[in-house]
Amino acid sequence: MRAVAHLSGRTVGGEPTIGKQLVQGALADAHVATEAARRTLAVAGDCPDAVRDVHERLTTVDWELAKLLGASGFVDDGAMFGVHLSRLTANCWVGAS
Amino acid sequence: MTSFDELQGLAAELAAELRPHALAVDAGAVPDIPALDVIRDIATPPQYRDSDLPKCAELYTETCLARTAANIELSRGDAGVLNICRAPSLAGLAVDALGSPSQQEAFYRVLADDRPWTFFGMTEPACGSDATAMKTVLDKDFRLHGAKKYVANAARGGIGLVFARTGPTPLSIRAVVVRNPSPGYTGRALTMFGLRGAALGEMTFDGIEVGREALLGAHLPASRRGLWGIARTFNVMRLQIGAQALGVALAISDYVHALRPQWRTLMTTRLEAARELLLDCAHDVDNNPDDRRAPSIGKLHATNLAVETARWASSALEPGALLEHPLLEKWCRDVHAFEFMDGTSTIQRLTIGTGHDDN
Ligand SMILES: Cc1cc2nc3c(=O)[nH]c(=O)nc-3n(C[C@H](O)[C@H](O)[C@H](O)COP(=O)(O)OP(=O)(O)OC[C@H]3O[C@@H](n4cnc5c(N)ncnc54)[C@H](O)[C@@H]3O)c2cc1C
Repeated sequence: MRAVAHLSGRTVGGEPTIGKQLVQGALADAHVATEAARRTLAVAGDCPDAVRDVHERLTTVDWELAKLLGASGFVDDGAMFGVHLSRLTANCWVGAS
Repeated sequence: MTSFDELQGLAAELAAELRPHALAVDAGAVPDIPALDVIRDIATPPQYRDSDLPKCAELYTETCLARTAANIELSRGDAGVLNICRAPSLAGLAVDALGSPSQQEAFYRVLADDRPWTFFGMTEPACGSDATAMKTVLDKDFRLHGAKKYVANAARGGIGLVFARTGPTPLSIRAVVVRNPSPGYTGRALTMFGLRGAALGEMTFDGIEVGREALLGAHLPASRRGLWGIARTFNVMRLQIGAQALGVALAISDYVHALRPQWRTLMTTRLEAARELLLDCAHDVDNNPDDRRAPSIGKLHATNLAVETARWASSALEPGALLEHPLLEKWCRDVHAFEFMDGTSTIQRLTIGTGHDDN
């Protein structure tokens, strides 16, 4: 994962940033949310409202992970450009009520 | 009407002149906008201003409260356009805190004569949140070696501050005034995702000769010559960033409510409450400039709420609304910038939760 690779190479206070508890908490939350989204699509992938809900949740997770990349995700083809494309795609989803 | 109300009113009038340029600035244009000259003057300490401004404008540089309130209104026009303003900004505040009277005079003289953009170079390619780990060095011959990244106006700026080590300890991290162009200075602009008026870039220093007079803080006690000397400055700036985030959120909310005049949403109330919170935090900073929790509380809430407001707007309107309304789409990108400016939300949480962060 991009965030893990990025933070494994950075340090704060002389220690790897990846080891910070608040970082690990954010990574764990993202992992759990992604697993839940996968199951939602498995049980209700044909339900437009559920698909929309999953997409919105994933947009939130994307942002939580992009924050971990610091300013590097914000410039020169960083993660935010892809995150936004995914959000625009979700915004055009017309299936939901 | 009090001077404070008048300043807010003036800021709202100026904001209306920024808005028409929002999409052009997002596309890379740098238009000449008379309102930006007024904003630049308002943000300049009175003794260095070059035009007559209404009395209320003096409040801006006097109190954090006025600066915060004005920035909310200005950014409600457009924060991207606000960021192309050639104002003293953070570099100016730091020169006020660390510079001797003659250094302040020299800095503001350049601003008055050349009207340059200013830069504040702290972040490096390998370290941001932990500034004490920076590698840029000012050697004993007053030559600067190293690199900074993600710095506003790095390529187009004409003068600014660069933080560098003069020795191994955090106390030896000091600020120097750097001019661009200078032999050994290279600036490159970066492509930004949002808030493009800020013009982030990277800069490298290949032995730039800055001279002894460019080193700030020599007249101050050792503990206040560098990073610790600008802690109060960061407190003020943090709320200014929060104010800009809230301003963009208000712009989004105004836009949605203009499209749907019949809607009465809870978002309006939340944004009003956030304004109260920011102003209360700013008042705290005016009364206790060393309190780091209040600015962190204000900034954390405003930046998170701004991202939430953008999300609310795109899900409340019809599908495809972001493509149909380019301003809304732009603001939905812009709101993410504030997270990284002047400390990420995690850093603010550490400051609030423990009274300090561990970086
Ligand atoms: C629009 C914009 C304008 C900017 N303007 C300027 C400017 O003018 N001048 C300038 O010098 N810089 C500027 N910056 C850079 C900004 O200051 C840095 O991005 C910021 O300090 C974070 O540093 P970083 O990007 O290196 O991320 P890092 O410090 O590498 O952080 C990466 C992640 O690790 C987390 N993290 C860090 N420490 C801890 C910890 N102890 N515990 C848990 N998690 C932690 C962070 O929250 C983040 O999520 C700007 C950035 C942006 C996006």
